[in-house]
Amino acid sequence: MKRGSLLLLILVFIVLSLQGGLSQGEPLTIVPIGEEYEYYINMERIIVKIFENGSALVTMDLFPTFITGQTGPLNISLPYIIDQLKIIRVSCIPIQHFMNFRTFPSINDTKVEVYLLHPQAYIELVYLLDDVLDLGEGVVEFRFSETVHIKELHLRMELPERYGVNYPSARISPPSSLQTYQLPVLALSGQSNLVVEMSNIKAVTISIRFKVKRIDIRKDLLTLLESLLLSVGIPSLIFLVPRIYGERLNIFTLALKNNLRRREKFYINLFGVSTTISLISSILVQSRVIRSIIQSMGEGPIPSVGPYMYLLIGITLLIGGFLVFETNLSSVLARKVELAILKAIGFDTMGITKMVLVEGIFLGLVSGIVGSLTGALFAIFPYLKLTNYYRAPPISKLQEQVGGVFLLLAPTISLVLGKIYLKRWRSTVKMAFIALLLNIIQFYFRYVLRPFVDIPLLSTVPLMMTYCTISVIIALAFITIAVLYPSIKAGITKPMEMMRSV
Amino acid sequence: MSEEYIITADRLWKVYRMDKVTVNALSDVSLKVKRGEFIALMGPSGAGKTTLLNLIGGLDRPTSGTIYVKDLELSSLNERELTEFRLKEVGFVFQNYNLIPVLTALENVQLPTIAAGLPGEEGRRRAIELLERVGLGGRLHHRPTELSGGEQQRVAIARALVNNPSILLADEITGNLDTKTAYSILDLLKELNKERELTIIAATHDPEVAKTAQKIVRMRDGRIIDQTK
Repeated sequence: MKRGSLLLLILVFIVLSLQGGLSQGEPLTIVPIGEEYEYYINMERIIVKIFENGSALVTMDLFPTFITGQTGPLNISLPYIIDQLKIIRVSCIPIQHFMNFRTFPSINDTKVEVYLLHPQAYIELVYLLDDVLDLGEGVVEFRFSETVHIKELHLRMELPERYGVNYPSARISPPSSLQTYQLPVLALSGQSNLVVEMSNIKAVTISIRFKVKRIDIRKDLLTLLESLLLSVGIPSLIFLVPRIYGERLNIFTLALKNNLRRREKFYINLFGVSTTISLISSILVQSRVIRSIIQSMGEGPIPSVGPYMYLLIGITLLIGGFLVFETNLSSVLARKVELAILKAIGFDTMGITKMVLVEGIFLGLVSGIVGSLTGALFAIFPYLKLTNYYRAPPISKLQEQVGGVFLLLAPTISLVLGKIYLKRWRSTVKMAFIALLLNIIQFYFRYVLRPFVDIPLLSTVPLMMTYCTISVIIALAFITIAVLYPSIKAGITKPMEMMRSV
Repeated sequence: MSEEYIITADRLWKVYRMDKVTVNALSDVSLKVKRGEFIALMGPSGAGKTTLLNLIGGLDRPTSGTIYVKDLELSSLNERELTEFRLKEVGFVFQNYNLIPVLTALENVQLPTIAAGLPGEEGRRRAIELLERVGLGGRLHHRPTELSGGEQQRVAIARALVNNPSILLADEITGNLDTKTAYSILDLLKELNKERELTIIAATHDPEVAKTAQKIVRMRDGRIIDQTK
């Protein structure tokens, strides 16, 4: 057991140290006027093209950062003077890469310096932030250099229709100097058009800040390590924990054994209870999604969905609570003889009450976790869409190789762990096989399928997890109340009840 | 109380009321049992053997009368004290074994040690020792459904003895077993009786069981009709 913990510690340490080591690159300012200009930042090629009509196209060709060992904010400064009705168009498009790696520009800081001398001139920024799945619920910040008199400032995020969700926009008028405006971004994926309109003839510098994370090889390694931990961890949980702790016998393990060794019954109960709990988390997540959609329309006050939500959750809880109550009570009544035997051989009321209570709470906990996750998944299911097939770069050779090594690593570790603790080859092989299977599934989802899966609402994942936790806590509290009576009833079983069976 | 007698039952009555009918399960039963004695309670079904065992074991309370076990007067004990009494002083073995189906043989035997608050290691050690004693050292991790009737009864005996009780109450323990198995169980009981100075009261209508005992108490219609050595 000590060796296993040590191994786990080392793995956790590796993951943490990899996560910490991201360094910052140097920002570079360029001033190309009137022509195509090519330059490099950290060996990343950037082409800037200034067109006749005053628009500029910035394209970046990205090297994987594991070569340069550096990553950092990209700082582009484009001083440009417009004295007639013109549009400035700045595009940041990561184009096809030299290596087989997909890396993403870290456009943490893009500074666009524009002198707008015509009242109707406006800037259009096009950021193609494809496949950036790693974005948290971020913001785009606008910062103006000096006092400007703008009649109307219209900030808008445009995304292709395929997402089916309107993205937030804001009308601000008039903005004062050095003020930061924030446009909430739920997800940046696909083409985002940012339109800024203003009517002023004074020079203005707009800093735009995107919070976009780079996905690089370290990230990939991290993902692989994560998948390794998962694929070794889950079978270990299934096989090793019962082996190590299964021999212990006390009121709690007794309750767990009562649950888990009556598998069919437990699964049926699990299905029933988790279904009701999935409704709770589904309602919570849906209400949030509805809110954000209303918000993104940007018009009118946001209606409160609270009362309806609580009503729905209340009804669901009542149904679920009754279900648990009924299940538990009937299980107690069915096991009357068994409980009486326990009483006869010397268990006291408290002991048996505790045991049945733990049984119920365990069922509640497991079905809470299963139910809330499935509920949340069902809630966001309509927003999951497969996109970007044409753009998805193939999986790299190195990724394949690294992935292959990791694929073999998980079953190997499982075999070693199994040999140490299980002592039986059959279970060891079973454990290793499950580890391999889990690893393959994860590899498939993370690397083969990832480029095709686009999740606009991915940014709401932390929020969803919060909702899932909330629904688990609510469910647990309710279930504890629901099983209280059956538990007490079980506790006061008379030892003589067992004679009824004779 | 006399030191000689471990159990002294005096003028026990047990009356069951079912709707309008009252049934005298025990009528005026008095019994004295010496420490280390092996007693067979004989009689047809409904004679009150099981009721008497239940009263002695503290599973049930008499309608009237007193039972002393060692220095404890059972009817003066509350539920909690009675539970503790069952835990420490008495071991039960039943006709249908009454093992917990979800637990292995080892876990079933270890069960009473948890109730007694014994540390897990110690309880486990004792359980293994007892299972080896009753000849089931190789079947520790089998569930009751995977064991034969005789084996289940051995597990039940081991479970009854794990907290080192002074009294073993056996209710028709050979009733579900074939003759050969029944003999081996009886031999086991006899050995345990000698080894541990265990007081055994076995209710039965099997004359073979009665032969093994040092004393036979015959019952009929809730009364003791005869006591022979």
